[in-house]
Parts: sequence; C-alpha cells; structure tokens
Amino acid sequence: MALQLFKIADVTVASPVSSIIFSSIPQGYTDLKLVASVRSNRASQEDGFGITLNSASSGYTYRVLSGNGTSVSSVNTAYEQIWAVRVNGNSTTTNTFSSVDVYFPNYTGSTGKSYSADAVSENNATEAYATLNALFQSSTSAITSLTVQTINSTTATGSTFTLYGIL
Amino acid sequence: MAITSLKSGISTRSGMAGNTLIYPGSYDSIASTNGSVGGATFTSIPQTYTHLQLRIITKSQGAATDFYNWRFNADATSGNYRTHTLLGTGSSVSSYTNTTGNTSAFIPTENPGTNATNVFAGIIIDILDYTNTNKYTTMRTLAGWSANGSGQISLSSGVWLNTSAVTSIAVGGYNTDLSYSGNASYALYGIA
Repeated sequence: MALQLFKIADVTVASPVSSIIFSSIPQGYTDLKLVASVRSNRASQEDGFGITLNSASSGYTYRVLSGNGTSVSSVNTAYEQIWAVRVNGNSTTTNTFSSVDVYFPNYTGSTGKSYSADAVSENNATEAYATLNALFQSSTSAITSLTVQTINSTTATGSTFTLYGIL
Repeated sequence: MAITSLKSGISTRSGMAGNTLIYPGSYDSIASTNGSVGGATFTSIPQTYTHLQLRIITKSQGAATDFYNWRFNADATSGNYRTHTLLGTGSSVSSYTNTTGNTSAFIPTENPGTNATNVFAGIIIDILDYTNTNKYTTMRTLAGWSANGSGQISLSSGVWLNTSAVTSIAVGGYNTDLSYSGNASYALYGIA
C-alpha cells in the first residue's frame, strides 16, 4: 500500500517574516509531517528554528543530538522554549537553505505531544549543523495550529514550508 | 460508506456518490531500479513535484566501509559539492565536513562487502525544492547499517553549489567507483 501522504498547506516566504502560522489543521489524519527549506536573516552561521503548538508558550522539553562539522553535543535543557533545530543563518553561503523534517505522530491524541525533528544546514565551509531532536509538549489538546519561526531574526525570502497529513 | 481491506484490515472511504471526495495522495513513485552493478542514474526527472525522496537499500563491493556517492545533472565541476556528517558507530560519535573528491558529494554510510552477505545499508535522502533556481540544492540523508557487532548511523547533509533545477541524479559507491553488489534497490519518489 502506497504511503498515504496528503498536502494540507504550503507557504513560500515572499519577503522576510517573523513567523508562519498553519491554523485550522484538519483533524482527520493520523500523523502530521512538516517539511521546510529555511534560512534565517540572522547575521550568524546558524539560527534556531522554533515550533509553537497551539500557541502554547510553555510546557516544552527536548533532548537533542547535534553536530557542527567539527564536534558533537547532546543536551536536554531548553534554552529556547520552542527551539527545535538549527538552521542556516545569513552568514552561510548565499542561496543555501536548511532542510528540516518534523514528525507529529497521533497529533489528535489526548496525551502530551511527543514529536521528532531532524534537520541539516549547509555551508561551503566547515561549520554546518546536523540536528536530531526528540521533543515533547505537555498539552493534552489536539494540535490545531502550528507556528514556525526562525528565533533570532526574520525568516529569509525563498524559505518554503509544507504541511502534510498522513493516514 | 467505508471499505475495509480483507488483506490489511484498513478502512478507507469509497468514491461513491454521497461520500467525501477522496483526494489523490502527495507521494508518487517516479522510478525504481535494482541497480545491480554501477549504482543507478535517474534522468528526465519530472519538474512537477515540490520535493523528491530517494530510498536506497544497497551494499558496497569494497572491502572497507565505503561511502554513498551522488551527483546532480552529471555535474562533475570541481568544488561544486560539499557535505557534512553527524556519525555514530555504536561506540563513538563524530561530526565532520568533507570536500575530498568534490566533483561529487559522498556521505557515509555504506556496508562493506566483507560483512554478512545479507546485510545491506538503508538510506533515505530528501531533496527539497529541487526545481527552485534561486537556491543551491540541499540534501538531507539518514542512513545506517548494522551487522551484529559493527555498523554505523548517520545524519548527513550535502549541497550542490549550482542553482539549476535537478533533472538527473546519479548515485553509487565512492571507493568502488559506483560498483555495487546485486540485490541493491533504488527508488525515487516525488512529493507534491
């Protein structure tokens, strides 16, 4: 049986924005999958990519494994409440965007929401980031909206976000 | 009216009048091959999807751990590729970049041919916005293999420093010059 993947919505950033909101998410799928090609305007090699569930401002925890092209780290403390992965900052090679995949299983369930993210940034230099993250948000409400953003600066023109439902 | 598959037990909606419209899925098979020797090359890739995904099961013919190797649009220009890797071996982790042999890009993991006959590496590669001519193309690869005592797991990135739309992808081994054992499988999917 073919993978039952359905596009719910997509967004292409036409000019720098502070966040993108997917609202009124249909409740008829089993899982959600968010795919993003994203770059931040932060004057740095990287920026955080954050995801807010149902506008909740707290209740997030995560455990992350990350490499930066030289060294590896793993932490479990949230230095940004909604932080999920690292993406390209504006000091990386021009025209280069990160690749992000976030998976939300059982997003309509009545327990806390466990979800996972894997992402890579790229750069024609040593420094680039690979991130694997296991995340949790404590709300027992079904996910009806997702807000995504680059945390320390606007999201760059040309970034794309696609939300899929999976049966 | 719901239809329940006798084989899988999965209930689905029918397309009969009065039922909610069934929309086509967003995940389509474009092409697949067994690529028994020499890797695989996908050409004339449709430009109508949003993203691509490549799923590979393969095994190197080399004696040592090899690399999975890819090239877009047959572009062998020196310096046009860069890769970064986060790698775990079961006993250590590392992160590094590689520009060696940068007329193509290569990424672990590949199962050495000396390991158990039936142990193959699994590789999933996502290529986002592959038709966008304002971006360099970035690949995200999750790959691994386990041979009961040895193995690797990696999350890798690769960038093709060219803004052309991707119309062909060649994949294979690095040290073994794109030579792979039989029973490999390469499948390319389009995601709307």
